[in-house]
Amino acid sequence: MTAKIPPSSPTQVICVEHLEYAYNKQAPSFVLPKWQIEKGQRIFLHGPSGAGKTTLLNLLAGILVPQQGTIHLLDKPFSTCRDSQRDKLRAQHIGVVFQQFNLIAHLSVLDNIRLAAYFAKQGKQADEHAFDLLHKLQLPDYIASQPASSLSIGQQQRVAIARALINAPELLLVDEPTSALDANARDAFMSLLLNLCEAHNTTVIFVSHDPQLASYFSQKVALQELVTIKEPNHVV
Amino acid sequence: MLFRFALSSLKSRRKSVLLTFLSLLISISVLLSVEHIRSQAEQSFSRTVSGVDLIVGAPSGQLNLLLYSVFRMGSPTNSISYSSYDMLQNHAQVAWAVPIALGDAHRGYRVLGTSPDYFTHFHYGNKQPLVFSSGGAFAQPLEAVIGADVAKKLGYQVGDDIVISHGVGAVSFKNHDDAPFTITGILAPTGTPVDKTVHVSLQGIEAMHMPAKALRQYLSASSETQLNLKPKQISAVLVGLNNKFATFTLQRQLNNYKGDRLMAILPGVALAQLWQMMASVENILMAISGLVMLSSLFGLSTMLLASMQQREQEIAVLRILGASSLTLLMLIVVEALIITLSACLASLLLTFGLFTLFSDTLANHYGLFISANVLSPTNAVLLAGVVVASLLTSLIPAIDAYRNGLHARL
Repeated sequence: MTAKIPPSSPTQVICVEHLEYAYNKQAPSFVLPKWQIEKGQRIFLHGPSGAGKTTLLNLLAGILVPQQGTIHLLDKPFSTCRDSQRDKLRAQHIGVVFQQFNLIAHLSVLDNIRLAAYFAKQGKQADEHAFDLLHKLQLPDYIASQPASSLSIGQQQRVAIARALINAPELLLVDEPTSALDANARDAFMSLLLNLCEAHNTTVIFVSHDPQLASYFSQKVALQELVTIKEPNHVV
Repeated sequence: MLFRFALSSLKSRRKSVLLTFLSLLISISVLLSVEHIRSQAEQSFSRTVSGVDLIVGAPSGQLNLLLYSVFRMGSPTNSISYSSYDMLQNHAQVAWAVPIALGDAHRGYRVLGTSPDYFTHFHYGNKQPLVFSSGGAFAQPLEAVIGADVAKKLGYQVGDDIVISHGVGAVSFKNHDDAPFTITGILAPTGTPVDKTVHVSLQGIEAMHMPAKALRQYLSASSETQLNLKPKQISAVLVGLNNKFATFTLQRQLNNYKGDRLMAILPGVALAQLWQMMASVENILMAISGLVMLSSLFGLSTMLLASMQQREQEIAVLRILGASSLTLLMLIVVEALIITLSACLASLLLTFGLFTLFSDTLANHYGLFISANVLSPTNAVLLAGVVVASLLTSLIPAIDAYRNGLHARL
């Protein structure tokens, strides 16, 4: 059995090998020969715009599927499995926080969090866990019943963390979450996020072009060192 | 959760959802009403007269004769002489003959002059005889038997006096005040025009049209003389035969009768002809309501499709949370179902309410006896069809959502 499984130890959260992806045949391809992320690592991923940050996040989240190579999530084939399987793995093992518009505006805060639990097939205990997370993120209880659209952006981003962590995912993908926040709110946000991830031993990949945020991380990766952009062979 | 999400999503777009709901409500109601009226009208028409083999009247059209003699609609264009009735009564093939005279009304309800035999020979529905709910047939000239609806609507009881007006309108300028009629009987409900009719004797009709002096003289005469008063003319005669096989022979004989200008019709044939005429109108109505329904369904689909653009963000979030593309497709279908099912339910209530409210008007003005119970098997099938059709049309935006789901990005 071990012979077939790629050489990745159980401590690896993500293992990327020989990955190639292009949006279409004329577009340049995104090439990532090898990248392994160990459990508990917190990585600050930075790079200029156009370097493929968003493409990489979409690939890691299983929204995009590489044309070549493989991605393994917790030793399980992720990029090569069936779509439904990939959706399930994403629901259960990956949390995501975007730049903004994280929440479904017409649902209450609690329902937004429940939604994530629903897709991960969590039972009733999700509610208790949700309030626990809201406390830890310094959000008052009454906010749970408010519609998400009535919250400030800072509050919305904190609810987004709660939602991303409700299923206790092994991997948290974060994409420029502080771009809409002022400096104070940004600092508060960063320390809440990282403290929670430390407490849960969650692996974090934090994407940003803001060098000020790099100080929160011990491990920094420049995308250009990881990825090469290959122009298509037949340029017309 | 999926249902709650769909509900909340619909609530957040309540204006366009409400308009779509209203358009569905109207078109489903139209569809249900047309079908309901169609089936009920057919039923109420065919149950109006039974056991009568021939209707004999003055030559006009057979529909005209049928309408005024049985449905109390329109008026006789011409009369036949009383001697023709005598002839029919004495005819070897004729088992019974009942005269009818029309042309007067009581507060909008038609007055039918006839003989007491009417109550034994006139049948409706599946050969059901007329039944008195109280009192009995008239015996004296100035006595009347009223239908169930007349009694109910005007609050009459046996023993009450009523005055009959000239002409068939609801408002008349000439009332026969000198000759009030006493109600001797009230008929049980039949669901036919009989319920809307005031029945009096032929002598009564004749007497109330007399000048005041002659009337006083007539009323003071002995009851035998009174009953011997014979009108010169009547509107039509309902005829029952000894032998049904003689129907066509007798019909031909009567149509060629030398003593009077007569026309005999078979009620069944005339009803079928009437129904055939209605059928083409009804098919057109059905087709139109079907098209209205279809356009409403497209409206539903358009509304959902338009919402897809606003929802790109939402779809991306759902995908990231682990929703499969199929789940997104289901979400749209569930939204469409919520709207359609609630519109179906609401239109059932609406049509039920409308038919309850307007059943009297329909019966009075169009002779249509429509029950308020809208949920017939046919309508249940129609509703199921609407739901299936909404499922199909909602697939257009749903497949859009599915595609969006496949292409959604962070």
